[in-house]
Amino acid sequence: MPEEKAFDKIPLQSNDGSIITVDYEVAIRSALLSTMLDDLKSMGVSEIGPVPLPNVNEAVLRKVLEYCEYHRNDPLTNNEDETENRKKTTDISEWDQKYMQVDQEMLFEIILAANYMDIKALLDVGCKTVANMIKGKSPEEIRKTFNITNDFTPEEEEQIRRENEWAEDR
Amino acid sequence: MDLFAASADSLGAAIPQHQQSQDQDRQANMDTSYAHHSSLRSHPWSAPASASAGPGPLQLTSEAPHHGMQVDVQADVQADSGRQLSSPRMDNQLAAANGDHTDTGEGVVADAQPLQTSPATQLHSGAALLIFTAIDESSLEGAALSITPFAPTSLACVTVHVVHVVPMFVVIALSIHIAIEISLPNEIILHILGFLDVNDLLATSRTSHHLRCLCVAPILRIHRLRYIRAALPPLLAAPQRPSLTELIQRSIFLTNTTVVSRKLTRSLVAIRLSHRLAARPPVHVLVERCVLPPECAPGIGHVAPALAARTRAIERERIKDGLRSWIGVVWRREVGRRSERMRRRDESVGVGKVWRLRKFWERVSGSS
Repeated sequence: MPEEKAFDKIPLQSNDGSIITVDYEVAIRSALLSTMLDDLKSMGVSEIGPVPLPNVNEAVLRKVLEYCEYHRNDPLTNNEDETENRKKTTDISEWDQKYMQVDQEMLFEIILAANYMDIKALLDVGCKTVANMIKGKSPEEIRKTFNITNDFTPEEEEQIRRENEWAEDR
Repeated sequence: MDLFAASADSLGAAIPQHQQSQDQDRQANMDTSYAHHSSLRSHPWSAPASASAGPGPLQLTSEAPHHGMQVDVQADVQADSGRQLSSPRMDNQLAAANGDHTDTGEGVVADAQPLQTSPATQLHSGAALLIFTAIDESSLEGAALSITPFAPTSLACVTVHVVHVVPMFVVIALSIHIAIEISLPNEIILHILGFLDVNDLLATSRTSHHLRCLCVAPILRIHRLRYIRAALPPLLAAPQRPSLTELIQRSIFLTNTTVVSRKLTRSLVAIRLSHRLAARPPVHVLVERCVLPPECAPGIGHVAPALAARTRAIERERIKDGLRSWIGVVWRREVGRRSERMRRRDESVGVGKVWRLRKFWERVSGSS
């Protein structure tokens, strides 16, 4: 039996002051909002003002909500084991792959927003996308991709290379 | 790789030829850098963006790929007096920051006219060409500082290079090094690392100290083991795998009974060996009986019998080699001596080339 809606529309306020109103089904993809709405419902609140999301700007919020809108009918999973099992495969659905075709800055901001809003599926997709960007790359390529400064001394690099030698292809 | 390129020719096209020759001598080479953040170093997992510019053939390039976008700016400078030359992006940022009003800033002439650029051009990390009405250090500082509010996030460094000096105006390339500090927190990096295979994890661990610390975190191993424990049973249940009975028969899978049985067998063998060894005569007796070489005796060499045997075998081979080479030399000398003797005998009895030739033709005619 479907759960009774607490509210029809939820206004969300980004850190730059924009207010975006979304359906309840879209908002509850975020565990943060879902918990908050449940609490408000239990307290008998009938109307809700803009929910401030101080860590998310408008562009990122719109992007996150685009994901939630597309996946609004997906079953909500709270099972940790299932999440854990699902975790290790880096397969991403076609729509999610297209959705994640954004620049790196936006990708990281989406990941941070998903983490803040507690949208596990989106966080997984973002992290998988980053993981796929790492896979098969050499350390130098990874540094270049993510703008990482090499702070190892040549001696340290050589030592780590020796330590990792067992895993190298022969 | 991002490539922000504005050719010197295109700059030169905007400046009259007669002025260009004069300006070459007056071309200033003043560089000014302003670090607004002490952390010019990049952060792990920060979106890369950097640009650099230099005087002369103006090359604004980005070393790291910025959002994976290919950018190629062909700046066609239309240097009217008092006109700001900048990238469309910078114009947009200027316009966005100031509304419709274009602020002259400190030294920036802000009647913004976009350059003729390709439609796809977008300069995220700053690279801008500006015309200044004054050529002193303070105006350069002003130029750098006026850029600060327009950087996408946090501005790391602004470098100002004077490219051309024409009467009253200076064409300046600004390069803005931006370190976008979107450092992902450790828990998210760990989450990402959780999706990597061991070899990718090792490659990541070789990038920086910070990532190495995270890559070797025990929690990653614990999660991996937990996942493997969950993922292994269905993989083992695949029909193409041999059955458990077959694996036991081939001694690949060891049951507890097999393990205990092996341990018992080894213990038994160990006990039997120790008894047999205890029953053996001592080493010096064996040496006396010539069962063991003398160097195996504890007082002399205490060398293992196998090693002593090997040493002897090598010695033997060495002697054989010496003999072979000696015999070879003697044999070659003897053969040479005999052949010389035969030749002399043939010559003395008249057996020479003519005789051999006759014999040959006789043989040929006889066979035909």
